[in-house]
Amino acid sequence: MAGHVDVRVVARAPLDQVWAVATDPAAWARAGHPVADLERRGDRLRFRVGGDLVERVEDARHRTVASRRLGSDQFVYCHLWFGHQAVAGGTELRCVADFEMAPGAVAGDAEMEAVLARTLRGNLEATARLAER
Amino acid sequence: MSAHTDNEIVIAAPLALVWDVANDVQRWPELFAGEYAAAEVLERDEDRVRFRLTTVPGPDGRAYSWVSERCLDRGRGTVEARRVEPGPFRYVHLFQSFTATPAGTRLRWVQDFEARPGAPFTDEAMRRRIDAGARANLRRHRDVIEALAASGVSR
Repeated sequence: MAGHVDVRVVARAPLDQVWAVATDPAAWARAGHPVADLERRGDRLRFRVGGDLVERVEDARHRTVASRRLGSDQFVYCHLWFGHQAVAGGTELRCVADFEMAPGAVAGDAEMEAVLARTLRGNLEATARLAER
Repeated sequence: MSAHTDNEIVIAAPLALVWDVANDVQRWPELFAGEYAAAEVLERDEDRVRFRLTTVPGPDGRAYSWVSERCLDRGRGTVEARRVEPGPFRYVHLFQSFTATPAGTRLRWVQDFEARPGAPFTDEAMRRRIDAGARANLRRHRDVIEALAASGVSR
């Protein structure tokens, strides 16, 4: 009835530098994760990944980002939360996903947990490596 | 390290009425019995409303207040909401769906959240509180909206 994923990666880079990379779509493209139809309005960013529209809202004060998919036919809902905090030796990047797959989706909750855990860890690692440059 | 609640109720009223009433934030002090003292809309556009909620003071006399944002998708009958001012939480995410069924409208509330370290409650204590509150407030929604439907209000 619900999927949950929680992944963490540590970057050997300061918090501000990690935050700058994590919120820069040009950096995502350099990391091999380009997005389409990008539109920014203040702290709110909309773009497409695969066929789905994604909205990200940044909270610079708390160094967090809330992201959700809009109008997906695969997910009933998919909420991501990204946290960034200073830890010994650098910055911890964390992503929590809460979601539910639609009836008839190509994958069930457990299968998508495995996919998202792998994908999100890859995204965080790519962000961390870029921030370390 | 995070918590999840999922509750639903069927309300014997048309989806349009349930949608309109449940999304009328200014009515929340009536729809969430004993929970919110005030709900003030700060910003509203077609599919998004940002508002400040203030709780009824607890046994210690303290009231809490924070800003939340609801994003509405009328076509799908879904609402996604989050606390903009997270306060003692790292995050609070809500998903709500409104589904027409033969018996009326099924209203479902899903919440995912995590308490910050140092919050005055644990995830599990808050999960129990939110779970019990959701069940009571869904019943309250049903009672209020079914009374409106019975009095001939259609939306």
